[in-house]
Amino acid sequence: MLAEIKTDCRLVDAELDRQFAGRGLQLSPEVQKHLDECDRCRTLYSYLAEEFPADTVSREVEHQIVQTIQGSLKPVSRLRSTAASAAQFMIAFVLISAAVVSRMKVVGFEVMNWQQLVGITTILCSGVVLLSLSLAWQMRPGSLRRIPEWASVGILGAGLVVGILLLFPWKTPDAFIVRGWRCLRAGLILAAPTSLIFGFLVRRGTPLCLRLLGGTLGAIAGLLAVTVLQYTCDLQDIGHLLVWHGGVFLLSTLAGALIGDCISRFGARVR
Amino acid sequence: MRRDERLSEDELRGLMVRYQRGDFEAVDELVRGLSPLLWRYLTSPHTSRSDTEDLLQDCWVQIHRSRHTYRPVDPLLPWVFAIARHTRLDGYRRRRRLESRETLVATPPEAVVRRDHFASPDATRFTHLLEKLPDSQREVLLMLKVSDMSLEEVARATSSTVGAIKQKAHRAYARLRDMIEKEGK
Repeated sequence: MLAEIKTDCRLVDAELDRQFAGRGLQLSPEVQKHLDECDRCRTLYSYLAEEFPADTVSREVEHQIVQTIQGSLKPVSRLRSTAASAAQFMIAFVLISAAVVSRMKVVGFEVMNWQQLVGITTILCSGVVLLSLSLAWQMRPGSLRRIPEWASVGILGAGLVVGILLLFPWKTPDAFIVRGWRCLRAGLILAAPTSLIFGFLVRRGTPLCLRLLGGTLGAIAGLLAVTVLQYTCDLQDIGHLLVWHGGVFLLSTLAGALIGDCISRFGARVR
Repeated sequence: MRRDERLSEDELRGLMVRYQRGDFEAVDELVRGLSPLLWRYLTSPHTSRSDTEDLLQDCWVQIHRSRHTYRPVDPLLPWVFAIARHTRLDGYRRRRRLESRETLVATPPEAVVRRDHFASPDATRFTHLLEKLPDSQREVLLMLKVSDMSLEEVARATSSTVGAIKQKAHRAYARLRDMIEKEGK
């Protein structure tokens, strides 16, 4: 059980945040007063201000490392910026989905009214931006994530569910399983090669967590399939959209994460 | 290596850019400049000195393979520590797998020898307290304190957000206060 933290102790926490954010070392009078009164805060603060004991690496190890690196040292061309990488994913998404939709009958456009069309298109576009940024961040170690990877997929999933519930009507299912299964199968068949294309675009980066990368690749491929289904499917009711179209997104995300996890475990074993 | 002896962020960036261009001397300076920080981060009470050396070498191999992903507009330390963090996790998983299969037939290797005798008693005490913290909290404090990184840089290195890092740091302070209080009694 942690000791109770007094409100004044939180002033010290905030002061440490300020110092670790690189905004000066000058203590405010309130914090100074609290440090004079509170033993444990004073000790904590003095520990954190103390210079840390420094271990040293042996010269021999450093020399070995330098030799190994210099043995295969060549000039490299830098990875493009995060914005450029994200734009590349978005362009790929638009081109692939436009190419697939153009080869099919766009009955979805005829079935949806303009509110549904604008609403669902906005959600799908936001999803593409979110997932493209997430992939671009994952390609470069040390990128500042405005939104964590898992949250991008979660926000998109929640947005789709809420959007569908608000925009589309509930109808009595007509051949719910037979027609739904057709959509699910077509969506997954489209998502599988699409994820490979996005995987190809990611190949120059250094993703550090393959499970997350796999999940995001699966999610963007699933979203592409959902987009195609949205504009080409004539069943635009809550049940069908949530279960079968949503199922494509969910299954491809899970499959991507699972494949990423397997690759990472297998890679660790080989090493 | 003391804080004032360390290379500045600008110097490190300059070396990294030269490294990307294939400059041999930059590699030497960069390895000597960053290895002590990485060593301190990779060291843990559960790893032997030779394991830590292996981890450091693995980390540099990974840095070498990924060097094209660094952009000079970004700070270097978060990029390096993101890779180091991944190497450490990978090493931890590998060690656990090996330990589950191996039977002990010889004396365990020597543990990492800390140069605590060069440090003040407070610093030594703090090091021991840090080791009692959960890994994720210890990692955040090590990056903030030892590597002198800002909250935003630690967030970048751990693929997290500034808010989440603050939260972990605050939990660590609370635990440390608790331990300090118990030690005082």
